[in-house]
Amino acid sequence: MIINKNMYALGTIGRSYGVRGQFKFKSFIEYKRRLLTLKKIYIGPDDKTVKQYEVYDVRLTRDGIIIKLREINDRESAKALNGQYLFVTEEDVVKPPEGHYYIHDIIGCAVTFGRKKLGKVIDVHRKHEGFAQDIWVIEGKPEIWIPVLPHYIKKVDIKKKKIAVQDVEGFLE
Amino acid sequence: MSRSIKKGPFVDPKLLQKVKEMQKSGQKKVIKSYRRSSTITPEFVGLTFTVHNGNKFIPIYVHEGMVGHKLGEFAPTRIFRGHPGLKSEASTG
Repeated sequence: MIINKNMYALGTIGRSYGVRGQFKFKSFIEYKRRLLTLKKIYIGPDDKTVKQYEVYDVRLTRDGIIIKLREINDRESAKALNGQYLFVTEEDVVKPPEGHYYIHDIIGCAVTFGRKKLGKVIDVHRKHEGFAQDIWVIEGKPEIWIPVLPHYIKKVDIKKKKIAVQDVEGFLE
Repeated sequence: MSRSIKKGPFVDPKLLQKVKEMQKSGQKKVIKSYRRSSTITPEFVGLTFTVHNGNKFIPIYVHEGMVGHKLGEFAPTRIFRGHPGLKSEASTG
């Protein structure tokens, strides 16, 4: 089935679990409890060729995440999904709390400092990569790295894809 | 082997002087430094540094939890971009 909507991958399907069509799930997302709210999902090798499924049960166990779909009721069918991606449509993506943004929303935003245009965000380095805080990488030669802290970020407009920063002279040298 | 207690932590004197001047004046300018081995002292808290990682200057905003660590610990010299040959993964949800 081809669906003309933006698809967002939440993870990949792992090996089958049990004989009733359950399977393990390798999540890309940090907040795993979000998976408990899943209802309608799409599974496929890529976001263009997907098939719709209804979620019957999601369990967060010590061994990992186990998912049961209403349409998959035997081990062989679950095995066939192994390695494919699990997607949700744009409407089903959970809105982040205020002041938090998805990386895919931030990438591509045009950054301005006063009247000066700095360029577009091309990458985001996360804190868990070893940095002191999250860092936005802005295109250019050399690249401009701005820490994501309230006193440097003035305004973020995701709809207009615009970000205004302040007091960043020290990072431009 | 750990550093002698008698000597105390290593803090680059020039960097410390810059920090003290910054604290006195109340300005919050970014301090550029190559001194990765300099220990973060309580005077550094609330200031932003850019520390060289061998390639470029990495921004570091110092908070209380960083005191006692070295500046270089927060400016990684290698960035893991995933194993070669694997598909890139979207992070969302």
